Amino acid sequence: MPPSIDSGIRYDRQVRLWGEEGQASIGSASVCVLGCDSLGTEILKSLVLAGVHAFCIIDGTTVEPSDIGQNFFLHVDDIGKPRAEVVLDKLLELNPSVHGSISCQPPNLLTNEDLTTISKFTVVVSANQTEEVDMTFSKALYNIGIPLVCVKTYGLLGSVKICINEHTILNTHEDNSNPDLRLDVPFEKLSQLVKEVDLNEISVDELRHTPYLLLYFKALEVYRKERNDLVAFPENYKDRQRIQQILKDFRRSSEESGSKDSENFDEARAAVNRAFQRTTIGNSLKSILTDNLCSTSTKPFWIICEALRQFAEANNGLLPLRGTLPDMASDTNRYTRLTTIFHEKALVDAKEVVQLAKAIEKKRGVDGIISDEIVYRFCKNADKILVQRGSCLDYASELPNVVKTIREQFEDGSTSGSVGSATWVLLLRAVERFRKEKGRFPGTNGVPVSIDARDLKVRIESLVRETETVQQDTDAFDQVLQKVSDSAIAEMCRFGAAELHVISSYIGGIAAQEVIKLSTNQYVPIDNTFVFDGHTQQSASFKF
Amino acid sequence: MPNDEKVSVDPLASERWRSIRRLTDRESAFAPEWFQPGPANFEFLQKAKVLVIGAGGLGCELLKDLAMSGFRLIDVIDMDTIDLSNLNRQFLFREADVGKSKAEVAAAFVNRRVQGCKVTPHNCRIEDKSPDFYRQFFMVICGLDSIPARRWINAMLCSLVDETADGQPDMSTIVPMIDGGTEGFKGSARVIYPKMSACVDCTIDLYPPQVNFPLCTIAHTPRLPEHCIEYIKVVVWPEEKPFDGADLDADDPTHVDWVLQRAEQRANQYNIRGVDRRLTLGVLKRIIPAVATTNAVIAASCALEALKLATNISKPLDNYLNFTQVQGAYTCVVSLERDKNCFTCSGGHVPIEIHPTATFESLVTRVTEKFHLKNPTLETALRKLYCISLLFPQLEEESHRNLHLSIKDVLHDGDEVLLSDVALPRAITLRIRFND
Repeated sequence: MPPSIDSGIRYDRQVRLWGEEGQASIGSASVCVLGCDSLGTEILKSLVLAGVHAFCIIDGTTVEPSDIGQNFFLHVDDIGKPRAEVVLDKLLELNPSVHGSISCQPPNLLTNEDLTTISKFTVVVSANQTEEVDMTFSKALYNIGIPLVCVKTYGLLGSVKICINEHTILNTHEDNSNPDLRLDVPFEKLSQLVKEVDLNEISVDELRHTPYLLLYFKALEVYRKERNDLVAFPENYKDRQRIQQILKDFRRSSEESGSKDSENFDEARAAVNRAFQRTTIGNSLKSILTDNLCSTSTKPFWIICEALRQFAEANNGLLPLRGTLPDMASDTNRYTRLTTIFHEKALVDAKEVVQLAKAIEKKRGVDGIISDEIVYRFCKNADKILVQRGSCLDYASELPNVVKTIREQFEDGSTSGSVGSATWVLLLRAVERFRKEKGRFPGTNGVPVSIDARDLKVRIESLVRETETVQQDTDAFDQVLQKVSDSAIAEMCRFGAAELHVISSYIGGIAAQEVIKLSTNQYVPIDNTFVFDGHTQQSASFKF
Repeated sequence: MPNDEKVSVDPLASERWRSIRRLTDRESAFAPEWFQPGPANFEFLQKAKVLVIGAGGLGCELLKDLAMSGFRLIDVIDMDTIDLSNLNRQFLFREADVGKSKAEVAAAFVNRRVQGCKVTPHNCRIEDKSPDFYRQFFMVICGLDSIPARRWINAMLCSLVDETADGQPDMSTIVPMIDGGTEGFKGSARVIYPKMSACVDCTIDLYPPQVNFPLCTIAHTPRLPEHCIEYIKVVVWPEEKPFDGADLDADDPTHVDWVLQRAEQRANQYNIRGVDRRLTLGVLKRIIPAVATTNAVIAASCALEALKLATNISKPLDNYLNFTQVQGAYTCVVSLERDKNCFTCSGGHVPIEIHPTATFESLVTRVTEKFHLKNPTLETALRKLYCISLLFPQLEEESHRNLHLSIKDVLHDGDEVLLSDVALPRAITLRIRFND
């Protein structure tokens, strides 16, 4: 069903970012969220607004007075009601096209049978769950290829961790790639157009309205003549300086102003280093195209990659033309002719890839799963595809990595001024262990903060001892502990399980955006741990 | 005070605000030196009057975040009405609210949802309010999408600061400003103490200049679909005066259809691809893409700083945060410095170095870009040099003549030039320096 006009307007501001195809992916995504405290609810809020197909809340608690001071979607009158039920009703008000459901079973009591039903979700989010729940879900989801986003808030801290086996990205939206101009390997129609232009024959006015791509080809002609080499191409800085000089010499002064400067030559000069690059397949893409999955997988992404690989093999190692040109100062005629021949050539190339992809589909017994449109977009963004690989969540096995990162951090733990982000990660882990062993969080139950701080420190020491890297090295143990200052430990106790709405909202916004990345296969998700420190508003990302 | 009573009779007060109270009542090495843990902090927060400017994407989030942080006296200004395209992020509004005042609907919603919170709406322009209105607030938190509005409130808050006998800013007259901004997956948040730290105009270079298509390109050598649409907007519409000479209203679908159809014709004539309704609306309304998630992050970042300023639970942001979530999630905090020549917070002259043989036009273009101006007027103490205004038709010819003259034929080295524009809250004095 095509989107109605109303939903077209409702989602207009975001479709301008991720396109109709991105919106369609969101519109067919189902998200499961474990826990609807303030954090889980804020994540859901953003996803409902974005227009997911459906969501499911798994939360077994009833609304308590402390929820009212944290969760905007709960009212004083809701105290005592099942939390998931109230949150569901309030969330559904935000967007009439979204479907919602709940399970009032606490996430830690789900049976293996329950876990099998989660395979229907696009993404699962764990909001402030215990380490056991996180790991149980990760284990169940990792093997069936469903991403798990583990999100935590504590006092002024927050973290987002993404656990996924493999994530394929159709468009990273990275905007720093070089344009696909084919200066070294022009296609036929482009060569023809270049041939038609003679810079010496045209008027000064026409020269000044010549798009710089044509100036480049003309400069290349001169460059080749100078070297007496028909295929010479500037390979280094010095060569490109020569191109700059040739371009400079092309300029002519007009009678009125006496100046030789004009916008198109300015643009030409500025873009030389990015434009004069050989047309090659980048290393990241090359490793994707040589991945074993290209020759075996039945997933659309890998089938199209295989089609791309076959295309390149048949076309002297060239990928399909992307077909988009940067804007260039120009008269109308020559710029539109350029854009038209680039566009048409890109269509021809993409059609070839479509044929290849269809043949592979057939061979692998998955006919008709790939649309022409997705192949066209794939070819257009071939420089922007990416594959991320991650691991199943295992808090014990990531700990040595956390400790190693702390050792390598620059900050001096003796001053309270700066605490490294990895140190906060360790402290969060210690708090969780404290909770597990004592049945409450540090800084709660009226126990003096100073006493809990001592108990928390013991847990930090045991966590660090457990890591293999430092077991043989007593110096290392001290080094790490030195970086965990007493004031940072006291701060964890000060928080006393505080759940600040602003932190939930901040981390919830980030987590929801990661869910959108994972369900649209656009943009690059966090790989794999993001940590936020509300004290300074600094953050860091780690691969733990 | 009535507010005190409410706090003390709220039977849930201690449990409801338990999380915030952990931070306001306990000591910390991460708080400023003057932080004194205790119940007074939270009481102060509940009595602090704060102003939110804008009830849009950031504004809705800000109102929620502030109310959920314990603020109870919140005012909100917005002159806009609710549009269907707001509903992907402005979560206090429903389809039935389309057409109503954003400030009023947002205030009513928060007041209904958060017991004890009193949000007062102002359905008007920020310029409609007096200095005395702004003076009453403990701080101002902005969720704006326009640079001129940011500059206006910034200048207003700077003007509220009195000086003590020894020439220092009188701390009791400082109204801090917290400013958030988003575009797509990028955003920023900053804290400004007027006349104490870098203000909006100290760092005006941070904002990208508005992209304007040169008239000669759109008229004679269009090459992009945007050029075709812009041409219909700025040339054809005023010429043909459709709809009985009505002003072009991008919210009127029949107007948009008219522009779209004419732009398509023009695009076909020039063989340009890509004119469609979405692009037409984007160009006509200068639409900035927006998502709920970035607004949530930036508003929370601002509200966190508001919470810190009101309670001192942690040291404030120092002082500018950049955020982007395209590749992973990334934040960067930088400490911006005050410009001692800032024309807004230092009352300084802006030095302009220019070659004496450059054209006067190049000076006009340069200041227009530098200060994000629309239609500047330049004058010395003796005469107007450039002024295009229906009020002074006699100056137009001379203004155009001056554009083609060399600087040295219009001005002397060391001259002061007064620069004014609708985008400037008040005129700027430029000091011209010749760099031969």
